[in-house]
Amino acid sequence: MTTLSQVSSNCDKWITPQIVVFAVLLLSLPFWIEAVGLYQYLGIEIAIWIIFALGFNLLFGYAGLHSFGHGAYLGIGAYAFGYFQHNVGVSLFGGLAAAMVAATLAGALVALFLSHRRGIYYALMTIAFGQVFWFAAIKLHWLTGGEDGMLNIPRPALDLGITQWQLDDNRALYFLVASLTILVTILSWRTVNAPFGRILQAIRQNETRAAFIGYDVWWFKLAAFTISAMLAGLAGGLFAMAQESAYPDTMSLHQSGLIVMMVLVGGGLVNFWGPVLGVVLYYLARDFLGSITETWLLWYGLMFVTMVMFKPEGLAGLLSDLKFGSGKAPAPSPSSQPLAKEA
Amino acid sequence: MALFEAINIHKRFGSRVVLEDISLSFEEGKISGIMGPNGAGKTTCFHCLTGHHRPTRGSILFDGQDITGASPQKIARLGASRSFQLMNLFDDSSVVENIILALPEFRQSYARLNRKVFTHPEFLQKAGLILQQVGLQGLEWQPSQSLSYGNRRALEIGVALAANPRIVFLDEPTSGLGAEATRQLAELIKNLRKKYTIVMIEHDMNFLFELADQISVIHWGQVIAQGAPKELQSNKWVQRSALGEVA
Amino acid sequence: MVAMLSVENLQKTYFKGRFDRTPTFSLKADFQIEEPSIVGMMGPNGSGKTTLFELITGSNSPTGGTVRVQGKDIHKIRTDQRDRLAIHYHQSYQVRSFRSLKPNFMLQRSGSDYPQVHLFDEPQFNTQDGYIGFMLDFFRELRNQGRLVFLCVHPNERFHLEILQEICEQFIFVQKGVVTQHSSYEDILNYQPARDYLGDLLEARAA
Repeated sequence: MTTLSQVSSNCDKWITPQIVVFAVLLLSLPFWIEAVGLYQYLGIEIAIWIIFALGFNLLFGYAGLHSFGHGAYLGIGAYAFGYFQHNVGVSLFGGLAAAMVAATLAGALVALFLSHRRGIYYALMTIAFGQVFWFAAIKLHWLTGGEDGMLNIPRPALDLGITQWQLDDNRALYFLVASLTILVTILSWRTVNAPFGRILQAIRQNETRAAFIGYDVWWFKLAAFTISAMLAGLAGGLFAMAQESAYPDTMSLHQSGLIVMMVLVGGGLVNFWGPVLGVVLYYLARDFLGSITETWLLWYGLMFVTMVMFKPEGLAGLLSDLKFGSGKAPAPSPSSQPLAKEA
Repeated sequence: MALFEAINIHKRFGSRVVLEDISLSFEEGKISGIMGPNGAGKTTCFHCLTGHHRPTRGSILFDGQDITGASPQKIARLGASRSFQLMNLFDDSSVVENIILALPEFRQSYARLNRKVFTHPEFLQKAGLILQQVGLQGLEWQPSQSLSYGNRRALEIGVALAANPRIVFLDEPTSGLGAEATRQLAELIKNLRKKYTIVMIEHDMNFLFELADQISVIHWGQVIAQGAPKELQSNKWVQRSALGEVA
Repeated sequence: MVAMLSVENLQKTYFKGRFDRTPTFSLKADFQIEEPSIVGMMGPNGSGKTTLFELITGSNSPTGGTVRVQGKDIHKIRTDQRDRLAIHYHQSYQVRSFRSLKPNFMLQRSGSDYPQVHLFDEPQFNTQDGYIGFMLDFFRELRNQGRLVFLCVHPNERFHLEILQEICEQFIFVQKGVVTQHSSYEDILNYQPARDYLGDLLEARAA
């Protein structure tokens, strides 16, 4: 049985071979995606949702805190980005910063109410707060445009002082998003393997013991939720730019459920790359199954059910089984040297 | 002066009195034992001393500082750590990670994104010493849930020691152990007394009579007897029991 | 001086049902214990020992009569403070609900942090573990601190009688709802119903 907390020799590195492969795949995608019968915009969606999913899995998989209302922070990011462009000034970095700050504040606020809870009560509270934000997005017409959504959000140019890139073209936008996705992936990998991430995993495994060895569990749960909401906000801001609009549906319970499903199918509970695989699988299924039948979501749902029943470790678990034969991975040990014998 | 003191602890859950009146004091460098029948309130007493429960009345002093009602993490950071009767480990994590997580040096580096964990020489060296102390060297990279029962008990104690505590509370350390494993544990605890102040709840009276400097007998949520093993063993009824013969 | 415990015309009757008022069980008690002491209590199962304890601790309301602990009528004390006057140590831990028709704010305070009367209901005496000695010392300690100790034992082994003889200064015998008070161990052995109840154990002791 593999678990997220298994240690590999890469745990203490910033860049691992997997990250390199992932980055090469992402950055080369515009050059081959159309050749395999897909289109550029799909790459943007996938890359954005990978950011969302990695942030979500920090909370869901690593800290074991089950949020079923995470779409709210994606939506808040999207609205904040749009609001900034419309009311403050057309700026890429300003908009993305606004998206992250708004989602961080909303996440921290909600986490204040959540973090002393556990298990099902935690999950129920996340749903309740998610619904509150969703309802607010529909009702606060002056702020969000109500059910019609916030339209005509511009795509500000990437201004680096010396040069400027226009992002109106999907391919240009894709390169921005993919770069951010790679950055987020590296930071996520470090976060989950640095002391902070290992502490979150300890809290997942045994909250009581974590407190008794001196950790302020409440604070760590709050921090995990807030960071996760911040990444959702970044994804939301990029999503608003990709869609050139923001609408309440992003924040619905349905969307929040979708991210849970992606992470589970991909194997976010057993592997760092689970969320990535889950997002890719979902979008490919949507496009391939969607081109065959209108009821593609039903088939995707059936696949989800099958996966949960027969391979709860998800796609990542399935792949690691293939890699190591019948799942008999040798116990990885970061150092072949035995530990120090004497001081 | 005692290192750790509980003064007139009273704890009730609703209409149920669980601890009527408990006063205990633990001397620095000594092994103190707590014994008593099932349901006497021993574990609840530990829960109150280590911050899991807030006593309804009474106060708790650690090194002169009032820690009544302080959170478990605060009490742990002040240097009082504990093990659990029902084992409470980080099951998915390796043996060495269970120890590393409890090291104060690790805890204090929680905000450092660049801090290596499993190749960090200081962490590995400190964890290695602890594992050697509790006899788990060589099992560093085993998942803790794959350990044998006795080794899990040893790790339970190792985690408590890793916090570099001044006082260690052990909740029924021999629970579920065979004769040989119990003997090994007794050796371990004898070695620990050189470095730590130890308080342990024990079912096994002979184990306590052999190791403890001072024993408190708890029943009905109260301390019904207290003294050095010799004093307690001199009791007429203890003499008549199986324990008298051993002593 | 006020008596430690005063049980005055205490009566508890159980009926067949709410409407069928045929009495099924009736307990009557009237006794006083002036000084701190260790009181042994004996009697067959179902004779009303536990009911008497519940009436004394106020967790069961009487049909008639009063129980005063150091002069305070226990049934007029706030339900959440009654165990500060008299506490019932059950054989196994169980939650006892105190009921009262009056709300707590209309009732009196106990005025005590530590129980005055301690009623031990058939504590587990096991000669093997050596706890008996500590328990007996504890009973003496309580008595010396001015508390009243009740020790309810259903003797089924010889050493149970030894314990009672060793530690109890007076006795209460309960049989079929009749409560009698005896000033010493010899005194209770002279009481015929008690002799009949102890029967074989007394023989075994003589042997």
